[in-house]
Amino acid sequence: MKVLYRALLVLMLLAGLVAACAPAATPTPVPPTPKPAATATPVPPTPVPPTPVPPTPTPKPPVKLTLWHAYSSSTGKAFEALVADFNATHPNIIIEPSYGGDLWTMRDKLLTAIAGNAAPDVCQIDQFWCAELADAKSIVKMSDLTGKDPSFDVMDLYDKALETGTYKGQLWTMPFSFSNVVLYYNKALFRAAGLDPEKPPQTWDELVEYGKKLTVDTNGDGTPDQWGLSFVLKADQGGVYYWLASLWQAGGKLFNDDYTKSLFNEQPGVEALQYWIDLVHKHKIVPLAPPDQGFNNGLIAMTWASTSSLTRYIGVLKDDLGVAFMPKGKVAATGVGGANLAIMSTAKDKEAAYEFVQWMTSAETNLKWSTTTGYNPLRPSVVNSAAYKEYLAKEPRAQVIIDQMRYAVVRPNIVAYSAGSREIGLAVEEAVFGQLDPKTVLDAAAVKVDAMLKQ
Amino acid sequence: MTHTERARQPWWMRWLRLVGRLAIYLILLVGAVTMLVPFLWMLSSALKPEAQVFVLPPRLIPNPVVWENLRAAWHAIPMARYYLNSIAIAVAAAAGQLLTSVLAAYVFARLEFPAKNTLFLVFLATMMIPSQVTMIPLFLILRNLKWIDTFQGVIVPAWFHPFGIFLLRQFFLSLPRELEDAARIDGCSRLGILYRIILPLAKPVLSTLAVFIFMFEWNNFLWPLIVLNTPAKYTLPIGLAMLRAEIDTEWSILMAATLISTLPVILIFLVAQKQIVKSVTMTGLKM
Repeated sequence: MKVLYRALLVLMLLAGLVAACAPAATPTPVPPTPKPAATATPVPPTPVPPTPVPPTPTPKPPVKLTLWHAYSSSTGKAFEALVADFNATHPNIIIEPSYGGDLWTMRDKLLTAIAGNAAPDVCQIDQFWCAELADAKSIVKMSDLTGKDPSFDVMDLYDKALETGTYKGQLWTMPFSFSNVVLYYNKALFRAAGLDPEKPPQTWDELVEYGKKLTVDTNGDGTPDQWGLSFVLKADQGGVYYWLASLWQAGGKLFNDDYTKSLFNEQPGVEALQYWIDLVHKHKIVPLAPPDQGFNNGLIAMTWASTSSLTRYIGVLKDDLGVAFMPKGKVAATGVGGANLAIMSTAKDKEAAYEFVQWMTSAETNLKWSTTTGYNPLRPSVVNSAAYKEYLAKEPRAQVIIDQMRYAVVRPNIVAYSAGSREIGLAVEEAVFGQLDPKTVLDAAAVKVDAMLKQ
Repeated sequence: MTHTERARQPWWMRWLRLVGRLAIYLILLVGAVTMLVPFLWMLSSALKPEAQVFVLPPRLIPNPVVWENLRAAWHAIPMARYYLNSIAIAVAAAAGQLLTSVLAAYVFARLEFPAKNTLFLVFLATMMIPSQVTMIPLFLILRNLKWIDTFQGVIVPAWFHPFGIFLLRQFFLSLPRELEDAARIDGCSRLGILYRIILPLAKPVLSTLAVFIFMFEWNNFLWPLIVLNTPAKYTLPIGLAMLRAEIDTEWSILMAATLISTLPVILIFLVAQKQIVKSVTMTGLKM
């Protein structure tokens, strides 16, 4: 044992030395240094007349651009497959994708890199980072590049998609992944509860009524073993995004039109928050700590989630997956989500970067991306294409995600949104977990958010 | 207490002792099971067919045993590459930090110089600064050294940490000065004393520290992610994150990959276990 231990220590030290001294990166081949000639007589340098090099069309070495993204697992594979397609068809440009953690982690990585002037050339960003990055001049204004591109057809991008990348009237980031929140439900559990699997709940009241029937305590220990509904409640997991859908359904607004004052603490906001508190504590159909993968495993009957999950939920639940509009309150509403592509202002070659961005969001690529993942198409020409119609015929549930976009609301692209929405998310979480008075909590958050809006 | 003395105790006292011992073992057993269950779940899920991972009631023994998961996990990400990267980084970080900690701790424990205690306090105080605060300044330093996207960018910052200095200093202080004085009379130099007298005595605490650092660096996610950009240079925790998704995580594959990535830590712990236990009893360090 002692010998083994000592051997291990020595090994660790040795390995440590090797790893620390060696240039840990990929071993760069050292060019063989020419051996000094054996004869010691110095050869006088004969002046060579500069021979004019004939202007042969030497192929330029391809531009290498780095791309950071936050897509993992199967979506990550689909995304990197697109990039590989681009590289295969564009010999002059090499895009090097790297996974930067999930969106929240990648945000830290990106902001650190920007501060250190070591940002990538192109980056996938969450839609609502646009204003901050644009305001800090960390990204290139996309409309400067689209303006020089005669093939760019602004009419062939949905207004809401454009809105996600627009800051102060200019396009800064290119919409890429485009989604909204829908209600997914498990048809098998509907049938088991005696509900018609073709009639999902359409209003807040129906949602509660259905949820109660779908919340079942099979072993009689007082806590349900199957929950009616679940969605993200916690602020650090993006709960505010789902709450905004409820706020808009209640007829509320986040801010006034010139973004100087909070309106989310008015009556509709209070109703939306009370609705959430009631779902958890009064009707007891939403778990505070949902079982991991619960919807996949039939422990949760309905869930609010992004359309980007469509293909993956279909893969798990097959024909038992139902897709429906978000139940409406006073009005029908849902939130627009997704990610855009940004060209960083430190990009090595902005034209090449634009060529990539343009290709990634082209009708052809977008068709492939939306049919493999479930993300909404960005372009009317994609939706109207024969290939997409064929996809819809095979997968009619995707029609819901397109139709619901009509009621979808884009989050405001203002600098204060990031920090402001964080405050709102924390307030919502606090009120729901602590069963606090919605008005008091929202008013307190509004004071903080108003201060941010004034900055 | 000798054997005969114990035999003279009244029977109820012996019973009480037995019950007390049983109670202690029961508590320890509960603790051990609590610690083990996640490992067992990982082990069992790693060898299950994907469809059985979440069945209720949970089945601990996989049937059939899917060894294929391990192979699939190995290929789902460039595991061999990430393994080597992780080992190189964790070992180099541990070795370097051990070296700096030993030297600094010895200085703080034995040498006399002005403002020594103040300096030590300042060192300790840096432990209170959250790493997020120093992240960007550190990143800027690394960028000026052109160390972004290199292993030394991950390794070298790990060499300097007050925890090791603190731990070792406390241990060095507990060693009798007379040992050193004797060595000095025999003509041993400062470094000689450190190498020949102090370090052999400090083996338990050194191996504890080495395991601590190794485990910390092995699991470290954020800093390698921020410094490294080239996927071929990534470490295991980043690779594991790539296998995770909100919805379609393949848990059996993820658990198989986690199992593979946990092995070195378990191995090192097993090898160093005796030393660690010794160090805990010697320094009174509570774990």
